[in-house]
This record gives sequence, structure tokens and C-alpha cells, in this order.
Amino acid sequence: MSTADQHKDAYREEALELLAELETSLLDLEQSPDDMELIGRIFRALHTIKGSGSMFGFEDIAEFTHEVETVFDIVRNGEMSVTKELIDLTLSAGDHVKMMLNAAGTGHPADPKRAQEIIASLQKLSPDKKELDAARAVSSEEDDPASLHEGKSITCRIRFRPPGDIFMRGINPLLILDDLRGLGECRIVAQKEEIPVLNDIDPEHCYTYWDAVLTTDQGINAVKEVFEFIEDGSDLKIDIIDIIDDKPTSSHKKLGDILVERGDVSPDDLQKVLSRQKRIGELLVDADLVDTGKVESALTEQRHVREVQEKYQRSETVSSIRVSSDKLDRLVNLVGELVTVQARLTRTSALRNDPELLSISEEVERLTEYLRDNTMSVRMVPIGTMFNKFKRLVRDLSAETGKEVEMSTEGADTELDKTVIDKLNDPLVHMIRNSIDHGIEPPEVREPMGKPRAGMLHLSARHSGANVLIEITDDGAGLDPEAIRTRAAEKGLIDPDAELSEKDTFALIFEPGFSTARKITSLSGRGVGMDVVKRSIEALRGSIEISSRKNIGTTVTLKIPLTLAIIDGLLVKIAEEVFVIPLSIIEECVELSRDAASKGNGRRISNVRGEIVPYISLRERFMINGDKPPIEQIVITRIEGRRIGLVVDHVIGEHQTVIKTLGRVYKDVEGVSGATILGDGRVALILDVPRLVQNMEREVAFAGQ
Amino acid sequence: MFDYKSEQTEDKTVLTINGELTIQNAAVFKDVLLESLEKTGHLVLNLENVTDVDLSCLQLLCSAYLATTELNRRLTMDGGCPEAFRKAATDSGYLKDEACKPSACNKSCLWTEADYSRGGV
Repeated sequence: MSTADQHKDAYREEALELLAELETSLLDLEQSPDDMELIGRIFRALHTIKGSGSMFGFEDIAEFTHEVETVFDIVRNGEMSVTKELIDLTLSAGDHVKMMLNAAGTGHPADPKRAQEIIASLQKLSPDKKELDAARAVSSEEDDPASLHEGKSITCRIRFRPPGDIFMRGINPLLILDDLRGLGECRIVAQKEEIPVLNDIDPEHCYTYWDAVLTTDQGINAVKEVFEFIEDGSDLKIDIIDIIDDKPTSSHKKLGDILVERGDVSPDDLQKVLSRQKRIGELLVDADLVDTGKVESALTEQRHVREVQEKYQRSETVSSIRVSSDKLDRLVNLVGELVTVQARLTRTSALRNDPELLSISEEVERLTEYLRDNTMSVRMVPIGTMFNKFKRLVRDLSAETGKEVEMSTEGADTELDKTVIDKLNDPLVHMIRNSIDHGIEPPEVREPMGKPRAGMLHLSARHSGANVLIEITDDGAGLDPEAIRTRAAEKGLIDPDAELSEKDTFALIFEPGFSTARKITSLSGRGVGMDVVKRSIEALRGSIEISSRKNIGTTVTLKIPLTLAIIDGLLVKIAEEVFVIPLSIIEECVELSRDAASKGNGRRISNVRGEIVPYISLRERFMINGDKPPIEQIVITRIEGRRIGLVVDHVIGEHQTVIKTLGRVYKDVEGVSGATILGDGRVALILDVPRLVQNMEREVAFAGQ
Repeated sequence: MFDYKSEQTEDKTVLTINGELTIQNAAVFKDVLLESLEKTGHLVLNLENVTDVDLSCLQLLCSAYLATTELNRRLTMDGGCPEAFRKAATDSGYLKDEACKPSACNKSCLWTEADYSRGGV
């Protein structure tokens, strides 16, 4: 890939991020149309899309975005108010830029007519053509000093000479300097050259003045405010000497430049002394052109600016390294391999029983664990990024259905593996569509029922052990168990006389081909959906549950594992076969003696401290030959709220399990979710316990019919 | 509260200041400094028991230092450095950072951190 292509890719990526930010800000702006910070954020996003666009050869995008930016400049200047129409059009403009991005380089440009339509509509909205033109002339950020420093850190040079009678006014100038320090990183040098000798000094007169260099993100006005009450009689000069944004504006200024800039030395004098090739501070002081105080102050400024820029660059590097997810995936794979090798090392050292080797192996184990956790944490992203995308979806769907929906979110900072988040998108979109299409009623239905006009859709995420629970709650019509039963019977999914618990009834909507919607809409009702949702969630080793009350609302709960790459597992053994059971679902292990097993009279149940726990014999399930040991082990797991045991010969112990997929040949094998490589090089299958239990139940039900 | 004690020895005068070196006492402080400098070729200041210092008195110390260099006399400090003094010198921007001192300015000075830490000028 050429450098230009790389730049284009980087721009595309950045623009997509900015568009997502634009969308979120627009939706927030709709809720609070007077929020100047949001308007500023929208303007900046548009400005960057435009600026970088023209830099990397996306002139069409730059041109189009410029028009939208111009309108937002008018909004920002308070000459135009935020309306729903403006939000709609800007959202469409964002969509169009996305299309232009996708179309770039394909030879099929995005519809230029659509761009013209959007621009024409936007221009219609703006106050007046002439005013708009005038606004355009000043719209570029570079020309607008007020916007120049918005949200950026500035470095100012301040010379403050207080009035001579400041002490007599009862003001302590040191408190003013303290206020200045409170604004940011500040260096202050006192200029003392005007202090007379002791005979001549008026002890109540202030002879000192100060040079300060301040880097602050509070804006120039905050700096001016510090001196507001003492301005009268003071000599104050504040100059912005640096603006810190993505690209530091200047290299470190040379001492001579600073002194010339300040008017403390003329360029000619500087040139003269420079030709002597000595250190500039030394030369200027020797030449009596400037006193040491001034030199010191200028040196302080030079050092301050350099340090602030270096610090900023350092923090920038730390806070925003962009790494492609492919690279991260490779890293995770390598860590996975390392975990496997480490398991081998642990095993070998245990077999050799060499204390030195054991100690090294323990150290490697500890480091590998840290490395694993750190690598995993790098892949974690907050679920809020996905929630934000749904705001637009909900807005569009409510417009489409004529329903009013208010979406709220909770736990947006809950983190999940990026791969998991990517795979969750489609199922969640489906469920939100369902909630709005089937759940939430139109306002005219809601109001007579005493419900607020606008329906509520709440998305929440929270951690629960090694899982994240995601809930989608609406206050709509709720599920009608009777309708579900009737429909399921019609479809032949259940026997018309079957007695089903509420939970089992709700579970029917996950059956393939099931839909209670009588008419098909563009949103849902085609009968494909919830079964696909369930399969997608299960593919993530997650589970899905529904609770609902008629006319009150529905809550769908997804339980999703934090990561798909490496899990903590429990190694178990049956004959010579080794399996892994995910540790997160295990509650305890108990023994099962032959006596106890025979007491069940063929039924596979065990009495665990007075509680009856059904169990599955993995030996039978996987048809493993050989004799059972006299005492077997039951690994008790919790699946969908129930305790179910898995009987194995031996429990080996915990194991960091690097999940490997089984490949296409084994994709239909049920009850096994993947495999892992053990320390001795053997392969152990990872059990898909929920699926094992489901299959078992189905077989039992089938046998009973 | 402000009081002082002046002790004359053979080769120096030790001026010990107690209490607040602030604007209220600036005029008195100036007179005391003048008086002491007239009497001696080497004035030793002991500020160990100073509880508060403000800019007016920092200026006076600076001014006294200038006077000693002009009159070819010495002004040094003795005793521990009170926190109030260090704070005022730092907050006012009087105290210099050694690193910022250009090589041309290698004269000793009342306000350089290094000289100051050594307890004398």
C-alpha cells in the first residue's frame, strides 16, 4: 500500500469516528438545543472532516462539508436557532459524507443530486443568502480568533506591573500570582531592577514587577479575569505565544527571538552580538542591552514552552495510539500461544521437580498471567460507543412508526471485548426494532391507558462476575403468553394441550419461524429474528432471557462473557480424555460414590446437602469406554438459574484456557464450544454446558412422549 | 508582633528578627537595616524566628543587599531558614532556580536557591 493510500485509509477511519461523534452530538443537541458546547463540538467535527478531507484528496467531501459547517458557524454565532429540521438535515449530511467515503475510490461516486438537495435545504434554513455569504467569509476557523483557542491549551506571556501603591490599597500582589498559578502550569520571575538602594526606598511602595509564562486550558478570558480588579493603575500585557493542539504550532523559540518579540532588544543589536558566536544570554548581559532579570525571564519562558510541549506530546502519545484490530488479534493469539507454552513449562518443571526450574516456571506463570490480563484489557472497549449508535436508530424508527420513544442508557462505561461488541450489534439492533415495532404502543393507545405519550426504551449494561449483563427494557405492551401459546400450537411447535411455564412460553419466541406479528413491516414480523438473535448470543457463549408483563413492558436480558479469547477453565478427566469446563459457570464439586449413584435407581439425580441436583454423566454422553472409578466427581454448574451436575472421573484443576475454534468440519458438533491445547500438547475439548443440558432435556422429553 | 535584637561583635553585627516581616512593620524594618549597616562592615541576618514575610520586606532585603554591594560591605544570612521566608521568596518569583541562571550571571545573589541553601550570600 502506498503512503498516499495509507493516509487515505487513516483519513477514512478518522472521518468515520468524527461522523459518529457528530451524530451523537446532534442527537444530544436535539435534547438541549442551547448547549453551546455541543454546537462547538459539531462545528469542530465538521471542520476537521473538511480540513483533513481536502488535505488527503477528498475534495468532494471537503466542499460538501464546508457548506454544512458554514450553517453551523451561523448557529454558533447565535444568528440561527437549532431546530428539528436542522438536526434532520445535518444527520442526513453526515450519512451522505459516509456514503461519499464509502464510494471514494470505487469509481461510483455518491449521488451528487442528494448532496445538492441537502445543501439547498440547509441554505433555505439559514437566515438570509446575503447574511450567509457574509458568514461564509468569516467562517473559517483560522480567521476567527475567538474560536482559535476553543478547547485548546494556550501558553501566554504576561508582564504585570502593579500600581506602586498596591500595598496601601490593602492588596497583596502575591495572592494575584497565586490565582495565576491556579490556572495551569505557571512560571513567574520577579523583575527587581527598579528596587532602589536602602536609603532611597519607600518601604510601602511596590517596585517589583513580574514576567509570567502560563499554560492553561481555561482560555484567555480566565487569565484576564485574574487581573480584573487591579487593572486600574496596573501595566498589564498578555500575549498568547503558543496554542497547543494536535500539532504543536512552533518549535522552541530561541532566546534572542523571545527578547526581540518582547521589545527588550532590537533585532539589529541581536544580530550584532550573535555574530560574536557566544552564548546569547551572556552576550546580551555583557553588552548591557538587557539585564539578567530579563534574560532569566526569557529563559524561563523558553524552558516552560519546551516542557509543556514535550509533556503534551508525551501524553498525546500515551493517550492515543491507534492500533488496527488485526494487530491486536495477532497479539492476543501470540499471548494465547505463550499461555499454552507456559502450561507446558509448568508441567515439565513439576515433573522434573527441580527447585530452580520450578521457581522460573512460577515467575513465567505470574508474568504470563499479567500479560494475558493486560492484553485482554487492551481489547476492552466501553459499550457506550454502541449505545450511542442506537440513539440514531431509535430516532429513525420512532419517526418511521409514528411512535414517540425516549431512549435512556445506563452503564455506558461497562467494558467488553471489541470482538464481542462487534458481534452484539446485530442482535441488539434486532431487539430494539422489536421493542419499538411490537412493544411500544403509539401515543394514542398509550394515553388512554394512563401511560406517558412517549414510550421508554432503556438500555443498561453491568458487570456480573466474568459476564456482562445487558438489558433492553421497554414499557410497551409486553408479551401475551396466550397469543404465544396459540401461535406456537398453530405452527406445530408445541402440543395444543401442553402446559408450559411462563418462562418456557416466552422461550418459544426464540424458535425458528415463530412470529406473532400479523403483518410484516419493514422493521420486524418476518418470523426470522429472535431465533437468529438467540443463535448469535449463544455463539458468543452467552444466554438470553425474557421477562415480561402484559401492558407493563418487557425486559430482555443478555448475559455475555467478557472475552472470547482466553477463559479460566476447570480441567476434568474421563478415562484418558481431558475436557475443560468454563470456571464461570461452576459452583462446586462434590463426590459421587457408586452407592450414592445406585440409590438413584437409574435416575441421574444426586442429593447435595438435601438438595436434589440432576446430573449428566459425561462418560455416557461422549461414549467413553472403560470402567468408572469407585468414586466419581460431580462438577455442579448453574445454567439459567438451575443447578446441574456433570459427572467426571477426576477433577485436575484450574487451567488458563486459550480458546481455539474447532474448524468447519466440527461446526455442527453440539455440546462442544471449542478446544484448547494442554501443557503436554494434547487437545482438550471445551464443553458447551448450556447446549449439553438442552440436548439432554430434549432427549428426555422425547423419550417420555 | 515584630521585634529585633542587634548584637555587635568584633567583625560583624548579628541582627535577629522575630515575628512578622510584613507591610505593617516595613518602615521599622527599613530603619533597623539602615542603622545596622551603618554600624558594621558585615551584617548577619538571623530570620529563624520570622513567622510571616510579605513582598514589601522582600524588597527591603533586596534593597539592603544592593546597598551592601554599593558600600562594599557584606550581608549574609545565618540560622535556619524559616518556612514563611522560603514560601514568600518562592511565591513572589524572587527565588531563582539555579538552572535558569545564565552563565553571565554568576555573581552571588540573595535569591539563588544554591546560595540561599548554603545560608549565605
